[in-house]
Amino acid sequence: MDTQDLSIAEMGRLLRSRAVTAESLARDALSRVAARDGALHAFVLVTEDRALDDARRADAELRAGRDRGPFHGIPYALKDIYDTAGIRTTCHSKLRLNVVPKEDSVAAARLREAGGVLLGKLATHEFAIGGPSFDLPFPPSRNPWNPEHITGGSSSGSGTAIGARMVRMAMGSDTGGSIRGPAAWCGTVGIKPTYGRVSRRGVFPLSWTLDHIGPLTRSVEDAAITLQVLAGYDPQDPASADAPVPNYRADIEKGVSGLRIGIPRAFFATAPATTAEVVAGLDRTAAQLRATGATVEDVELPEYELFSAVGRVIMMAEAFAIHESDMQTRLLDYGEITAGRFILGAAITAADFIHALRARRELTDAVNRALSHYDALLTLSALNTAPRFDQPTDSLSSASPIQTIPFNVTGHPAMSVPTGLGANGLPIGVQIVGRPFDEPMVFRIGRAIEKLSGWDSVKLPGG
Amino acid sequence: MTEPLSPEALATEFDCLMARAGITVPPQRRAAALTAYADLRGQIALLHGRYGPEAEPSNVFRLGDR
Repeated sequence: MDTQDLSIAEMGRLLRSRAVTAESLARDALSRVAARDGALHAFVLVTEDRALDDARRADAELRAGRDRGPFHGIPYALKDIYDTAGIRTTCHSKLRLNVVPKEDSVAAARLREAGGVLLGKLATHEFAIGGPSFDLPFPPSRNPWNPEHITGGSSSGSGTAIGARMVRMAMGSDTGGSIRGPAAWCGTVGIKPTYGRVSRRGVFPLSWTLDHIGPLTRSVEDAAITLQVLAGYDPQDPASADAPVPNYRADIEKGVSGLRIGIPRAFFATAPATTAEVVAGLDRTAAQLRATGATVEDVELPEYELFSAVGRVIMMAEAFAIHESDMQTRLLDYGEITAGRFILGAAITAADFIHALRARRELTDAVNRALSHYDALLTLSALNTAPRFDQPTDSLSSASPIQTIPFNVTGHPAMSVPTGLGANGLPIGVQIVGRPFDEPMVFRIGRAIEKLSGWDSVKLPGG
Repeated sequence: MTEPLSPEALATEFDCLMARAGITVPPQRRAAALTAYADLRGQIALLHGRYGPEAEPSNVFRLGDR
């Protein structure tokens, strides 16, 4: 049986009917990694022994009648900024090549407790910011739809691993779009949950007040199943929200009839990097949603450039505070892109930072006001398809074709969903933004878009 | 912080900020860093002069929240 296209829910049904075992699923996934990763570099470490141990335990428990729920026996992988007890966690950096955490991050512990099967650690842009780079200890991961193209980042290996059908779920992190960007460019679903929804403890920080962690998956349902495992209050994470965790799949098939959805078109309409085909893709999605009963109309938000400025000032200032000592003493041990970005944090004044925090309040209020009139917002995740590695870019510039940082600034849940392929055969997608803690609505709209787009039938070149 | 600086003044300001932060920018990376700094400065200009004293930052907190 070819298991690569089975959803997490389908794998679960087959596990419980004894048609497959967790060990066979793990071996299938390990075989795919072995066959494909030599060219794609999604993994910095494959934990085969750990995977088989996890899988055999999952099988033994199911045989003994212990069922840990929908994630029991499911293979997954972690971005290499997640602490894993006894397993090296490098942040893709020379500075942390020998770091072996004693404890799991909260997310890793929850996935283990849910019966997941850890296949390994995934490539990232260095410290979740510096890449794609060829001056780091591991090569950059490559786009599974065309390896001459980049994946987006920083959860680069996560995008590759899901896009290449190696696993159904890979954890990423998102400080300015590092889940949703690779999701858009690699043709995966990627959700940045509400700030505080998932504990960040044990995940190496880039910017404490912008960091969110969440999964990249093959489908919206896979994402909902995974968030069900991850969501919950952690009193040891200062940002963790003590809010009820709903059933993320309860309303997922309800459709969009009667819903109101706003498009902040000014975000992307005149941006220099915007391509006609991604806008056409968004408009096609909007038309499909209207045809199935939703009201979809343009909505005004503050200018995108203000969101971008606030996010960049906060991110660079907080990141520099984290890396100050190493930047003073080991700057050349960082990759060139990483160091070039972190340097900017040293140039931000106290007044700059406080003004950014004042604007953050204004922008959060503005998005909340918009969402008092709409059930969700719909916009682009990326303004174009993934660029080639050899395409000249200014890696230190504020200009980015990934339009995701507004919702790191405001903390709203946001998910990228693939909707089709561009003329060059690379994925395009849309972004859905919900009210705080209303991930069920984001999943519901995402699932509708997934079905309407026919993405399920889009085949990866080479299978 | 809102007026454009001459390239020389921008470079002097950047060098002062790096020295104050204890950062030694390798000579071969200085030109790119200066370009990035000019870009960042343009973004920061959007944030200055925007608010009166009543506009409070997002990190103002309330005791007893948790």
